[in-house]
Amino acid sequence: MLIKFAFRNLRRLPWRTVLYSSAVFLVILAMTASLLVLCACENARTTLEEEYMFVASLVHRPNTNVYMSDVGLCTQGNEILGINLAMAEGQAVIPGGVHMTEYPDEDNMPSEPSALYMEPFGCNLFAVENLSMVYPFFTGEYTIREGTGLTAEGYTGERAELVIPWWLADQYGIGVGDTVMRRYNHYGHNNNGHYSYRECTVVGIYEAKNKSASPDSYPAYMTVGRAERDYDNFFIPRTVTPIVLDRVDFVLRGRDSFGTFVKTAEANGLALDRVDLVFNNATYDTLLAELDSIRTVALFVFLTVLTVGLGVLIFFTVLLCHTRERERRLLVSLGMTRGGVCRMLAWELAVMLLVAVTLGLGVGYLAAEGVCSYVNGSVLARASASQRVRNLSSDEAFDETMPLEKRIELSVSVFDTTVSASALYFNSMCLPDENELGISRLTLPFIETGENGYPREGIENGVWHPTTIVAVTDPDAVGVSVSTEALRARADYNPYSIYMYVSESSPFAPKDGDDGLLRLYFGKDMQGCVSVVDDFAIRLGGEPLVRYGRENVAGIVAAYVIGTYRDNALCSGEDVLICMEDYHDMFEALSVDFGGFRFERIGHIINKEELQ
Amino acid sequence: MKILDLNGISYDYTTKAGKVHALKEATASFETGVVYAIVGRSGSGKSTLMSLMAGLDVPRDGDVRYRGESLLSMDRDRYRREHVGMIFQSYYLLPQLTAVENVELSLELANYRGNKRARAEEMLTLVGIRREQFRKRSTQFSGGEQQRIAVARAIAADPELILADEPTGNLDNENSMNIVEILTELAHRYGKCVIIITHAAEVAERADRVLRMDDGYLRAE
Ligand SMILES: Nc1ncnc2c1ncn2[C@@H]1O[C@H](COP(=O)(O)OP(=O)(O)O)[C@@H](O)[C@H]1O
Ligand SMILES: [Mg+2]
Repeated sequence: MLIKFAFRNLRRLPWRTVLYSSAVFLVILAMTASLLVLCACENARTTLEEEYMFVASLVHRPNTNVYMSDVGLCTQGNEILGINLAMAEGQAVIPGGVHMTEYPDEDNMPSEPSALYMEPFGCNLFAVENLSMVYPFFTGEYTIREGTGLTAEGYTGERAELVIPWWLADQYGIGVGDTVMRRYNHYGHNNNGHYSYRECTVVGIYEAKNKSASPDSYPAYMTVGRAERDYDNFFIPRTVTPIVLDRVDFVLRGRDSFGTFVKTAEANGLALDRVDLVFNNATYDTLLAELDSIRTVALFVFLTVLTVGLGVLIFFTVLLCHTRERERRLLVSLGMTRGGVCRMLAWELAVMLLVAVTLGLGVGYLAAEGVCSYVNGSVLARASASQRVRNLSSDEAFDETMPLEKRIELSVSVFDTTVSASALYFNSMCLPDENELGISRLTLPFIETGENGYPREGIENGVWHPTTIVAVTDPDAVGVSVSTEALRARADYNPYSIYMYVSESSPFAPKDGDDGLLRLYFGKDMQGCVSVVDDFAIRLGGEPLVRYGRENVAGIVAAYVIGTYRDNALCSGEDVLICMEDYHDMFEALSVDFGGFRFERIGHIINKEELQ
Repeated sequence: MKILDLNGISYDYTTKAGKVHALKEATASFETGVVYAIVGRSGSGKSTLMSLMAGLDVPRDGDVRYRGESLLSMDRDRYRREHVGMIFQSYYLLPQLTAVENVELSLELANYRGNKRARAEEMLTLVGIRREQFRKRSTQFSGGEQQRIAVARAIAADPELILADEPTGNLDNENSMNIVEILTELAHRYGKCVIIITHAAEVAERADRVLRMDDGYLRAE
């Protein structure tokens, strides 16, 4: 009966119902909308902070150069998440003529380095970590030729692959999928230099918009990971060769990292009179400022509505009850209990509040989304890649335009805020601390040979077994039978060899009385591979011998069993344990380029205590 | 037949200025079939007396007995719903309801078992409201008509006791007489006990018995 009376009153007093509900509706709407916008801004700030790539760039000052060794001085701290560098490799070229597609004939191998320089010039080589971050590609000045199935973004982390300029392709009739040689001049190996040749597959051909300059200025591109290995393991911090770099971009942990980053680099001896570290993440600042002002407005609206609106609501509610005082008295005189009258009024209020609050919340949400999309379409769109940065010419304002800046876009939404940074792949820099262990894993097929590397009988038809290689930055932490120190102290230790540990239970574990080291060969896939050992070639499984030279040429690498490890959480059974540097050597030698596999210097880091 | 007894009831209002003794040991008894008029100056305590008789409040001293039973020990809300019909100076019709709904309201509250709508229409007819006006909102009626609807509402649930607090206070002479006629008829023909509070002499003249309130004291004339 009370409920019936309540609904009848709501129906019969439409103005009162509508006015009161509208007041509640408007207050709730304004509060919901402003609160949601406020939260969206908060959320957007966090997202921006998390998703934004804070990039610091190492650039040269006028008439100076950035060298590879400078990079080593910058990568010592803990502030770096990723690194991208463009490397102008003066000493690496693609030779022209016959050496472009074939190894130099062994009989006609030019003995003098000077003679090698007389070879027809093919093309300079640039090493890049990520092609899309190289300026001409980034600005659109260079584009990958249509139909070659490669995008600038796609060229990341793969190994032994080449993107060549159009002119080289046209001049020698090279297409995607063709194999060409890279020639390296290793300084420091001996005084005269030492040349090596490596095969490489062409995966893309690029065009330049402006083809006026001489062909020499349009280099071929390969990955830094590969180049680094090919340069006799010039892992960045150890680099001594004055390799000239174009530009290096460091992805930092956050905005606040820049100060520490610069201090660390300076403390390590970075010559700031020759090079400069710049941090121009203008878009981030602009976006943040815009978000802050929207947030302030939303907060103001919210607080205003909270105080004024709630005041108005309380006033209306009291007024509403007051106007029913006569009715209350009458109903009591007709014998309705006082509680009954209150319940009836409460029902009326509840119904109005329910409807108004529900509508207010719903419409408030829509309004907030509306505000967000308006903000996205106007304020943030303007602020994204702030107008100033967008208008800068990358060629001229090289130091000021961060490669990523132009692509950052923030899209605010009540529940789903996104920052569309370029989906770029960075080779993340994981630098383990003293008490941490860096780990990488890779599964490769292996085949066993006899001691001292000489093939056992019948190995040509041997069977390959897949095995997991576990690389760690510090084998001693895993508990190995021969410490790194002991290994280096051995008379027969060769820094260019790869050493490995097997499980104590492995059939390959060294036995007392062995005078030589057992050697295992690793191939990059399960197909036939060729090994050339001390000038005599063997065919290992599968396909017939096709070609050989002076080095390991066809995707096979040998490793010595130096000792054993105790089975543990990281590796056990058939797993092979090696040190990280050997892992990189192995990777290099095999040019591993499985689909989807990306070269990681160090895959992940764990605390050494986790091993105990 | 005796229906309502006042046994030395007193009532005080507590105000900032102190206690106001609104009723002082009022004693009286009321019978069915009789029209009573309670007269007295404004502020003499008439309305206070009426609210005590209706069980809207309880006396400080003494007690009100309905058919010999003290209101103090009764469910007074139910007493009002089932045994009392009240009429006020300013009609107190609910503006959001039609004439017939206003009458039905008291039937609903009294938990009337018969056909409420038919009963309500019967009552309206009894007080002289035309059938075609039943569905008009109460605010669209004249003052006299509104008071007649209020009377219909008061008698709908068939109470024995009808309390009217200055029912003609806002009405012109013709309408006043009309209302008094209806109330008199309720007592004489239907055997109700009708108590009319008034300070209009012509209303008091039509009553069977007159009581006077004077500064909280109740006396028969
Ligand atoms: N709610 C109240 N609070 C305080 N004093 C009141 C209240 N109602 C009435 N009174 C006082 O009680 C006395 C009797 O009032 P009331 O019964 O309304 O008189 P009447 O109906 O005869 O005019 C008056 O003096 C009046 O001022
Ligand atoms: Mg009065």
